[in-house]
Amino acid sequence: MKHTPCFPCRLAEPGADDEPNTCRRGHPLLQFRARAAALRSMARHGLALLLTSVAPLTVSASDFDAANQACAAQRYADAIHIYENLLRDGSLSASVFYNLGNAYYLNGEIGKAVLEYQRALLLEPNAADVVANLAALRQARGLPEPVVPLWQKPLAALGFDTWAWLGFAALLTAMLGVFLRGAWLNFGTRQPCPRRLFHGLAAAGALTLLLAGAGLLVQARQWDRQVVMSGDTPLRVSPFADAGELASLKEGDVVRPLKYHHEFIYVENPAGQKGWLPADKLQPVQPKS
Amino acid sequence: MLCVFFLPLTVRAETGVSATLSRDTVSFGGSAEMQLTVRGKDIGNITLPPVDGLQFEQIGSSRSSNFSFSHGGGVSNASNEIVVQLVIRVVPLRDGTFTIPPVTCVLDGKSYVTPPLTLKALKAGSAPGQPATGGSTAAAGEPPAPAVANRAIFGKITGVPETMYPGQVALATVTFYVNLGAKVQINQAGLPVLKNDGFVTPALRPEQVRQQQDGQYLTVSAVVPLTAIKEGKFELAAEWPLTVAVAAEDEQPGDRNDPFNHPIFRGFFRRQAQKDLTANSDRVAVEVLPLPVDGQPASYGGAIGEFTVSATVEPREVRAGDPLTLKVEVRGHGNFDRIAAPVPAAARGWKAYPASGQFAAADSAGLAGVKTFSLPLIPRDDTIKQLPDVEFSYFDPLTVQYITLRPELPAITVLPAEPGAARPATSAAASGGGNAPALAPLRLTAGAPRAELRPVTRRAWFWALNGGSLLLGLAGIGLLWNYRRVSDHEYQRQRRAGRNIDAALRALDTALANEDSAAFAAAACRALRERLAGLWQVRAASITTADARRRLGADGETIAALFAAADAVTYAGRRFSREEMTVFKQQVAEQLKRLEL
Repeated sequence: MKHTPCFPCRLAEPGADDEPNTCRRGHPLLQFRARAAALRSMARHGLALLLTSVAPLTVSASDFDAANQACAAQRYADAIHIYENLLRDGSLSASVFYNLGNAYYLNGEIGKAVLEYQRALLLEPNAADVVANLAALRQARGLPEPVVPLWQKPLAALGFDTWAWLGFAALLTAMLGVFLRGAWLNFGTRQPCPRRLFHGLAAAGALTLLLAGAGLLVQARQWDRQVVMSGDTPLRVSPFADAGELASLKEGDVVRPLKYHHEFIYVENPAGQKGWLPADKLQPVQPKS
Repeated sequence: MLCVFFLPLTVRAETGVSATLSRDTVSFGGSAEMQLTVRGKDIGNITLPPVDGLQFEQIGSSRSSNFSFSHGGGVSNASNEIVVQLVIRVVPLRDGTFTIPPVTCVLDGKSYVTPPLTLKALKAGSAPGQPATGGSTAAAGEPPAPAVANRAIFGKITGVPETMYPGQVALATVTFYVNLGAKVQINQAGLPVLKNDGFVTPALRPEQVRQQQDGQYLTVSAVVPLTAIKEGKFELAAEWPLTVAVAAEDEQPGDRNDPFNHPIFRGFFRRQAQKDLTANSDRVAVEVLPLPVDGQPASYGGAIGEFTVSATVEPREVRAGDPLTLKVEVRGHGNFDRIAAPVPAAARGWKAYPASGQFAAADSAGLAGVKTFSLPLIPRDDTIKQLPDVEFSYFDPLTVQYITLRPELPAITVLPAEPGAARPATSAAASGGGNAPALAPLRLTAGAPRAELRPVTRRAWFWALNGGSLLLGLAGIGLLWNYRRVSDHEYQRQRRAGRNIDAALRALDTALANEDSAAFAAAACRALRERLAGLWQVRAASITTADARRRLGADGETIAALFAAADAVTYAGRRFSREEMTVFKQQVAEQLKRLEL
């Protein structure tokens, strides 16, 4: 039996007779065939990963239609099952989140409905139908609407990713302006350098970068929010199950986590109240990967 | 002309109309209240004839009815006696005696008239008739009891029935009278408050309180909706917080010779005592009885009063699975805020969602009006031919009976559902009750998906792209720095001088190694001249021994000596030994270093 050299100690010889698959220092030795199979498997997985990351993702139209039909026929549990499967298969689209939110709402699962609506809004901020249904749900259930300060409203018009890409474009523009000016001066022709053009590019990029930074700061809060998943959840003064209650949160309330302590999360609700909630009563809008 | 319109109602029993005035004499500037009571069926509009010199203003209304029932086919047909009471303020626009002509009212196709009423309006300052006092039923022109009439401030509560039921709403009128003849001056007044244990009353707002001069009385009145909330015997009383100034009578008649001891001056200098007090009204007893349990329909949802029900549906032709909205209108007089939505009977093939209600008040107290309930319904299949039955029940406090009404439902047509159509839900309600808000429809296209729900900023490649941009910028900054360096002439000159000095020193070393005195002297001179040229910003070849002496002074002697020695080698054929060249080289190096500093 031929062995590959041991990786740590570069010894190809096996160890004692009773342990032929380890080197003399005890490191495992893979056989050639096993190593080759492992390499082939890695290559296959790597290729698949590459292809899936490059190939455009699609949502199964038949499953999506089936879920919609189930929802229209008031078979909400079936619709939820199909929508959830679509999401589990990686078809994370605002439409799936939104329709799933509707199905949960119609099925009476308010916390989950709010969660899915919030996720849809992450992908499509200010989508009219999502905003309308979330507002209707909150009105029907007496849930508070998050208050957006006036100065933040223009910044909330774009989503987090949009601001991020805008920031990248601004940075690239500013840096390109600097680079082009340097390159023109060093390698350019005898034509006079268009200083205004390059300075304008850099200044516009820098200003847009500042704006994008502000937008990112405002929108970042949308991503780290969490939704209360059960009604009458007590907001406690300290992270203990028997601590005093500050307030009671409703199912579907959206809170902002501030810090974590074992099984509890220190949160702030839309009314500005801060306190500890059990982590198992919350679901993050951005699912844990 | 004041016109009041009523909906036709089915009634029986006594029919008639009566009118009374709260007083027959008022002073100009005051007012009287006329109470018009109408009993009958098919009550049409009531018209008050205009009276020259009098102004009419409706300030309140109430409606009650006595129903009797004949049950047939599960439907209760109500036959009843309707009593409508209107309270109208009559304000004389001048003094004199006025006759309010008979009020004509068409009841059950016949005309009924009230007897004519006479109201005498005295000139301002004359003593009018006293207001009625005490109890909840004010008689027209009834003088106050002597004990009351002598009080400076007193109040009364009217409009409250002697018996009520939990949830029933009555319109109470709280009136306080301030005797203008009493030696009391109100400096500050709060809002009247109705004190009670078993009722809910909204807090009065200042604009709800009316104040007017009524003969020798200042009247302050407010109309308060009163909702009974628990059973038992209660007493209603109103309080009015005041700050008054009471004129104190002089105990001593004073000095007759005192020139200010005249009634005029006594009045002027009269001492006044300011005092906080609470004026109390007469108490009114009310008994809140429990709602009867016997005969309470399953569809009863807390309505107390008198109502009628009608229904419409939109659209009238739907496909199976499509929603329609059944609108049930509840009209009448009663506790609209406690009326629950009508309940559609469980019917095969129908999916019903909780209803939403909207109330349009017909009076300021919200006791009369129309409440419209929208019931979303979805027919499951096309075999359905009619809407599910809808029941509405209420309790009539006058007849002490529950009444169940079923509106006539319009016919509908249910068509087969479109095959294969995934219909979006247009209306929905989560289980657990609550009004069903309209939902935006489902999306029919899935849209572009993402592989994971992570912001782009949490991906390494995004930061790599940003890093690339920054590198591009750094490269640009490097290029700019390079260009600045290249385009700096002084820097370039220094750099050239440095390069020349280095070359000269290398030549010096070569000449030393070859013991070539001429080359050695030439290289040494070139090195020194290059350094001096860099300092003085002149051409190196133009620097002479004299220049070194002149510009460097004493420090230039060594350099001048070196130049002279070099000239001796170059022009006089002198030869340096190796040792001399080594020393010479050291001196050159020292001078170069000194000049560098």
